Amino acid sequence: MEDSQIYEYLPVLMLGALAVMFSFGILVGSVLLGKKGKRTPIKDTPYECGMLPVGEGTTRMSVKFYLVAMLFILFDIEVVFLYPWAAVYREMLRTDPGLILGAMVSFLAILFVGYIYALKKGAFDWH
Amino acid sequence: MTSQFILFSLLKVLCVFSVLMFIVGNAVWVERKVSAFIQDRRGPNRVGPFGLFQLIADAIKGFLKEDFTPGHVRKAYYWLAPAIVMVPSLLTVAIIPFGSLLGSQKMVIADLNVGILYTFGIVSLAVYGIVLAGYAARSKYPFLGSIRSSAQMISYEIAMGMSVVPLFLIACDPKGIRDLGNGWREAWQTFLAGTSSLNLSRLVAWQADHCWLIIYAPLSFGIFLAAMFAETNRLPFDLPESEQELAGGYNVEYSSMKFMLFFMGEYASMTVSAALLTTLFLGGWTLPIPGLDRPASTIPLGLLQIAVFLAKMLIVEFIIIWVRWMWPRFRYDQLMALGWRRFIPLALANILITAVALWIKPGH
Amino acid sequence: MSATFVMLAVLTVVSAVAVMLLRNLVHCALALAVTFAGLAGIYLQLNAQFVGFAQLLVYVGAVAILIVFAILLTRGREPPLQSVFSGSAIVGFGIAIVVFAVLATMTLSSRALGMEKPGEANASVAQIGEQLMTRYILPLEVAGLLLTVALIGAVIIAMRDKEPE
Repeated sequence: MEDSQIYEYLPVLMLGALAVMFSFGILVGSVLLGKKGKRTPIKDTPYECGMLPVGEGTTRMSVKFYLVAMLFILFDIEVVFLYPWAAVYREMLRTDPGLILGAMVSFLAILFVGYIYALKKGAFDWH
Repeated sequence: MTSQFILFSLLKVLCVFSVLMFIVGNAVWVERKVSAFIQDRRGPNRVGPFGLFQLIADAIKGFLKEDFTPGHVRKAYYWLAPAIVMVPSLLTVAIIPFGSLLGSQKMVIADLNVGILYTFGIVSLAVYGIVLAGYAARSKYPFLGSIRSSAQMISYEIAMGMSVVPLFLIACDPKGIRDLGNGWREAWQTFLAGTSSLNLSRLVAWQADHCWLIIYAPLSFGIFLAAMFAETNRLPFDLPESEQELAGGYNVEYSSMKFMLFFMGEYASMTVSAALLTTLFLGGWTLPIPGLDRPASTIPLGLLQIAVFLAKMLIVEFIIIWVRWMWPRFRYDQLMALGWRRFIPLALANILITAVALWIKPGH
Repeated sequence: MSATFVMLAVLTVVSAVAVMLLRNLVHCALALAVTFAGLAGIYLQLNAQFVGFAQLLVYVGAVAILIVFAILLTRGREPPLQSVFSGSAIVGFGIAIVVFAVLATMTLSSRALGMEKPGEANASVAQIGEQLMTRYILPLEVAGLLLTVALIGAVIIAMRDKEPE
């Protein structure tokens, strides 16, 4: 397995290591060099524009955000399928032009039906 | 896997990292100067000539500030979040070809064949930093800001991913590099040896061979540009930070260098996006001038091409900064509507139009 | 087995175990993201670059984010402070072992093991595209249909309480 392409990622790993070291270097440096201050109850209060905090820190959010994340997954998968198609599109136009266009148009059309449904149901309306 | 490969990779990583960090630091200065110019102020002008050393002063100030971790936060995530924002934005730079050749070294950190997929894969990780920052703070504004921000980022990621597809439809050309004589084809073929379809160097080659892709796919460019603003949380899409509503958004509870890391992460991802835009639409390191339009044969030419790339990138970055001070902020419902109801159908239509156009006229 | 594989496998398995054992759901979700990322690494190590990054994009960048979202949006309150590890872990572990045993016996008795090893996989995106557009075109369309069904389902579940205007 020594010829695995994973070694192409060695420079990426180096960059990643450098980025991580840089980030944590900054965090640690800040602790070492920073001024040491006193802890006061006011300082430990969550910031709410200078007022005393009301209620809990983590409020409940609209279910819309969940829907957005769900729709994101579905469209993300669609996008992933689009890339290999784009990569061979012109190549296959020579051999089988009807198939290569028809296949993706029908794939997109099927998904577009779902999109229209979500649109009509008001999934993209934010009030 | 030779020690030479490791050595050169290390060298490239260090150089790119230092240049990137230098640009990030000075982008802050440019931002302040541009905003001052637009708002008829002077901007930073005390530290060094034209306030150029402001960057150093800010860094020292950031380090010396009290490093305070409020008692109500979730400590581990609170510490981790700034780093998680920073790392992906730095990692994206790995596949960007910032030059052709210096000697026999390709001027890209990792010439991956999945190219663009790597970018989107890494970009999608940046959401974690923001979600965690909001979760860690255990405080209302950061939480609201982080949820908003992450929903915005994932929404525009789709538009961004789709907007790039037409580029590959156009540029994944089985004919390869045209034979324009004068060693043109040979130079490119040696340069591209071992790469495959989604590689970004191939995209640069196609643009040098034909025309910048901004001409062929202007709609893609528009969508990508807008999505880029949203992904980097810049105005007109800087909802997560909208001061008036959220007092700063997901980083409210942060101070000193932890805050600075968020700040630098934003500028780093802005710089890398500018580099990506340059590579995808503006011809990368090439210019349609003889000598600069093909892989460099000499070291000075290679350096010149890196300079060309940096110049294009900095112009894009300047435009990003300029826009920030010229545009009002969107409202959240407008932002989501724009992403889901305008950009996604538009990007889909763009893909279909491009595909059909190529279908009708395959030779282009 | 190469060293990279061992490292990735250990990372994947350890984070997967953490998903089961940890009590705080947010920790679990993040450990799950690490598991997905480890899997992506294993795909890359097998030269399946496209699958690797698709995994990163879809699972780490989308599915795990959805889970984190779901946890953050539904739980208003803190989990009760007990031990870090979930108490039902042992039961879960037992069930996992039984399921694993069933799957392992099935796999070991399968005919596929007797078949010849496939050649070194080195599928480029173009090859995947070509296969997807010719041989696997029906599965692609079915996948599209499945995605649409999921989309409609998500909308129905999330928008149920919407009053008619």
